[in-house]
Amino acid sequence: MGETIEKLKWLLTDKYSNKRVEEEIRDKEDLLSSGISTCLGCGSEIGLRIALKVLGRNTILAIPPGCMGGVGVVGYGTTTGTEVPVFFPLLDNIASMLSGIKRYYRRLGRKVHVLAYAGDGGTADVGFQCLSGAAERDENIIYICYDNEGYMNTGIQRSGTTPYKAWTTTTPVGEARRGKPQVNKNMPLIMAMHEIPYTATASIAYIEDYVSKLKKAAEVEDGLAYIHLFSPCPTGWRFSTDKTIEVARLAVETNFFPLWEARYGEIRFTKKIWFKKPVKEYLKAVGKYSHLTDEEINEIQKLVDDRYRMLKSLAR
Amino acid sequence: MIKIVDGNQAAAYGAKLSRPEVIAAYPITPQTPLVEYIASMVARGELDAEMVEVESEHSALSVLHGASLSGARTFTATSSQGLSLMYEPYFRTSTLRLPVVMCIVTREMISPQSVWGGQQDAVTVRDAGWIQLFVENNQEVLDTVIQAYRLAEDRRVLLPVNVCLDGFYLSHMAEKVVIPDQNEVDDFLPPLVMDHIKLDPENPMSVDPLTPGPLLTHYRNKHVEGLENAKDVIEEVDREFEERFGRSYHGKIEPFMMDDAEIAVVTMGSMSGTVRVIVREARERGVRIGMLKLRMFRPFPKEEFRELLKDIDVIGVIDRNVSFGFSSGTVYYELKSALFGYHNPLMVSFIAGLGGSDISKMHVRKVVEILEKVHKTGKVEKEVVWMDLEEKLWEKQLKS
Amino acid sequence: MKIEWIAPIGKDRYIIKTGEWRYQKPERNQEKCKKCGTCLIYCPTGSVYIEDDEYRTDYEFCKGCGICASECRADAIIMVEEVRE
Repeated sequence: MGETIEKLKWLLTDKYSNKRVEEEIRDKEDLLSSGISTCLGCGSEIGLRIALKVLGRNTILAIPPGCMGGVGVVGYGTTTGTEVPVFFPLLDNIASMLSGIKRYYRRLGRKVHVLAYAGDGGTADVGFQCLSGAAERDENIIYICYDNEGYMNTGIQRSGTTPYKAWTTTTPVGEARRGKPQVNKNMPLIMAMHEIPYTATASIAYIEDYVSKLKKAAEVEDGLAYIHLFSPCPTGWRFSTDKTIEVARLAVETNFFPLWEARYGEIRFTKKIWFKKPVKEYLKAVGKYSHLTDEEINEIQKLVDDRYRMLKSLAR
Repeated sequence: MIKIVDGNQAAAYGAKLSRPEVIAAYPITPQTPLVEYIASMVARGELDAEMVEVESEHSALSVLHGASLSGARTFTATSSQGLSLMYEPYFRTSTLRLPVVMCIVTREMISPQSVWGGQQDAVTVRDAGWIQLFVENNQEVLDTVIQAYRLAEDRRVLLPVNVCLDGFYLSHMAEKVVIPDQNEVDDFLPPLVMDHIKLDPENPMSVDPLTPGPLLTHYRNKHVEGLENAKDVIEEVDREFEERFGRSYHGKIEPFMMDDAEIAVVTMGSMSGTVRVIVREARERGVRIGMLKLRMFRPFPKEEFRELLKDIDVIGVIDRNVSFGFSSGTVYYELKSALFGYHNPLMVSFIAGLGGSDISKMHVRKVVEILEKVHKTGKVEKEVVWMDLEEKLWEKQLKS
Repeated sequence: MKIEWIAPIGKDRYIIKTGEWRYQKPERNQEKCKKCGTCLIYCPTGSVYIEDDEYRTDYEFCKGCGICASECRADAIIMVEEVRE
């Protein structure tokens, strides 16, 4: 009996669909330099490599200060880490700088993808004002936030998307405080509520889902497309470098990070979880939660359930 | 065409005639009408530009970064707190060598809370690598915006330019201004060609990679070279402008009644008009006095000042700003350091016109009186004179 | 320095031989391999490629993170200790 269920689970996981998406992306040009100095098992590198494969050469890429900038995507000295034009916006002007580029290319009558690949700090914290402004002005840019839940490039500090109770170097665990005392900002939902043409959550464990969302984002012409990419960080989250995908998958399977998309604010789930796992399984896999007591885990389970319920009530 | 326009409108006309392709601005007193004028020009179809109504000044300049890096001619304007918020992209505009033109409608910096004139905002950002031109009247506002594009986009320069016009004294005061023909401006100002730094999928490059110290030093050195070149280019641009339009502003510094002068008053911005009147008045009394109007504050025209002031005994510098830390006016101490080792005149710093207070004829007469006394006695009694604090002027003003 | 640029730009390719970081390396059992492509899509460094109808790893850039071995459903990849001369 247990074996049958296990088999059934296999059938329903996305692992089987990898073949389709693999055929689609494997022959596409890899526009990102292979030798960039990301940490071992970096989730964000997977996200960027695939985004560039899907969007292709006719793309202008913004890599703000953060992990991807630090590892050499914008190059070092007189070099460049990509084969598309790439630049360092300021941490807090990503969406504005891209607006200027897109406006001018549109004026010239040239169709160019204008893409931001920004961390959660530049998106949800210091760069939020200009992102919100660009969304409101319907700037036609594609904005991917690779959410590794903190300032990882500067060495694992808390950000607005660091989850409740998570350990970081600025929310350490001790007698008086146990990780981050606040709940994270629900960034993708905030963006969806701007009623922009396209908002989506994506995970590096679900590449087919991610690729289809990238394609939808690339087709948008009347405003901003935002993808919130869940991107586990072995270095900052304290787990073994080979577990990146597993951790990302668990986050989806436990509803910790549900996959959905929204057109003009109208939400639709893109990944149905048939066998929902308890959040505990996800939390146990990630070292930054290793201090949690059962009581705290229950508290997080409730938070996750509440958020999911809220999302469901908004969804079609 | 002759029109009666205020300084904001003159700047808008100057911008329009220069055919910017992307404009981004955020309203702030006293620059607001400038944004409104531009927006209405775009709405009426007179100005064919992408207008981006951003959510902050920080974004205004950032949008122009993107547009300029794509090859667009760009324009924006701001004041005071807006400029402070812009500081992060501001420094970067010059270090990326983007030929952006931005009007600063100058205003006092808070605190205390003030929305009125003063050059503290523009002067505070003087070492961020931009070219800064200060203007005297509304005609000069319009003409200087056009000249600014030629200067910024010159291949020897390739740097952003500020056109600084005094808040309220110019921005909100109407004067007669000649509006040049579009054709003439088009002949004077060819379209922008950007290739030294560009974001274009047809010619991919990275913009602003992580740069090690020695290479950064190379770029800094090239930047300074561009600024130094601007000193010659502004003279060329101004000469050619005069040939085509019949108006000249003497490039970097305009000398007024400086022949055989023993005393010189150095000014910057709209105060120059009042000083002209009082200098003429003093000349009639037989005082050998003249005026130097500093137009190009950045790069600072050291060499030209040394030449123009070589036979001068007494120099008074009127500053509409304060150098905190040097405890004088900013132009005063910069001029003093420029002259050091060349000439040794007696110098007095006058701080006047802060927070929108007037630099009236009365004030300038007082300046001349003090300078005459210094000349006669050969002694500087007070190196820094705060004009509004002389004879408790501020108490009188508050009472009235 | 030869460079005559006036503004900070980069044109040459930035490449670090990240394979040198490796302390363990993936080895494939080609007989077990089901050619599902999982290792290819999840490789952060983009080091998995197909040659002679076989999936292979480019050891010049593979950092040895182990994601391919962990994710392989057919257990065709194992991580072995990197031995350098």
